[in-house]
Amino acid sequence: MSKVRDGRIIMEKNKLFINRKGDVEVLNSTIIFLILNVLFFAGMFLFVVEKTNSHAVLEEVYAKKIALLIDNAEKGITMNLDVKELYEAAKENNYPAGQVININNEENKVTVKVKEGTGYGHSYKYYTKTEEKIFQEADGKSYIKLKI
Amino acid sequence: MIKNKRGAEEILTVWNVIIWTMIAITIVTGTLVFYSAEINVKMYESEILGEKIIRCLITNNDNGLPIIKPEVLNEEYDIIEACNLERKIIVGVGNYVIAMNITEEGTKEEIKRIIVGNEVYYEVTCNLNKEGESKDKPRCADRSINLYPENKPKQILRITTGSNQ
Repeated sequence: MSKVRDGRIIMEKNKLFINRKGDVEVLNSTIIFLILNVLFFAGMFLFVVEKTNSHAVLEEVYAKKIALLIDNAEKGITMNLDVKELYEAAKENNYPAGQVININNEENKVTVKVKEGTGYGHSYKYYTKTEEKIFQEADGKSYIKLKI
Repeated sequence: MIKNKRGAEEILTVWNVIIWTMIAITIVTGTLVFYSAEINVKMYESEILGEKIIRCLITNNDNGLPIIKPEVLNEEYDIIEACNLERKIIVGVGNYVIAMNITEEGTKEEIKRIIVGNEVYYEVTCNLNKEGESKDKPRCADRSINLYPENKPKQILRITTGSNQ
C-alpha cells in the first residue's frame, strides 16, 4: 500500500496482519481476480489444445491425398502409402483400424475416418474410372497397399 | 487503479470483464478460422487431370516427336471413355471441365475442339480465379503442346482443365 504526501508517494511497510476493512477487501478481490484469471486462461488453453488435437484436418488431408494418388496413378500400379498417423489417431479413439480408410468404387469416393459417430470422417471423390475394385490391403499399424 | 468508497483498490471491474471477453473472442475466432480452413487441392487436381488427358491424346511419331493420336480426330471420339475417366463425376456433378483444341500454326485453323463438363468454367469462371483469389471458384490449369504431324504444318494442342470439388 502507498500514500501520497506532499506530492510524493511514500510506501508503507507490508502488513502481515489485516486490520483494516479496506485491506480485507483488497485481498479478497485480488484473490478472486487471480482465481478468475487462472480459470479464464486455463479455459482458453484447453480450448486451443482440444482444437489442435482435432483429427478433422488429418482426415481431410489423407482423404484428398489418396484420391489424388488414385487419379495420378497409371492403371495396374501398386502403391504403398504410409498412414501410421491415421492408425495412431484411430487407436487413440478406439476406432477399428480396418474401417479407417474406405474406398467406394461405386461412388468413386475415398472416406477417411478415425473416430466413431456421425459428423466425423472426410470424403473426397476421384474421377478415374476403375474397372475393377481398387485392391486395398492394410497391416492396421503403418501402411496401406493400393492396387489401381 | 479504481478505488471504492473506502479507498480500497477495485481490481475486479467491468473493464476486466470486457478485456477477458475481447481476449476470448480473439483466441476462439483465430483458432476456429485456422482449423476450419479447407485444404484446397483444386489446382493439383486440375493439373493431374490435364496430365492424364495429354497422356491419352498424344503419342510419338517415328522420330520421337509428339503427334495427336489419329482416333482423336474422329467425329465420335469420346474423350471421357478414351481417357478412362468416370463420366458421372466429370459430367454429372458439374465440378469439372475439360477443354481442348488443336490449331494449325500459321493459319490458326481449328482442327479439333472438345469441351466436356461444366462449360461455364471454361468460358467464364476459370478466368476470374486465375491466381486462386476465391476458394469457392474453380481452379484451372492450362497446357500447350506443339505437335509435329508428318507432311503437315506444326500444330498446337491447348488443354484447359478445371476442378471445383
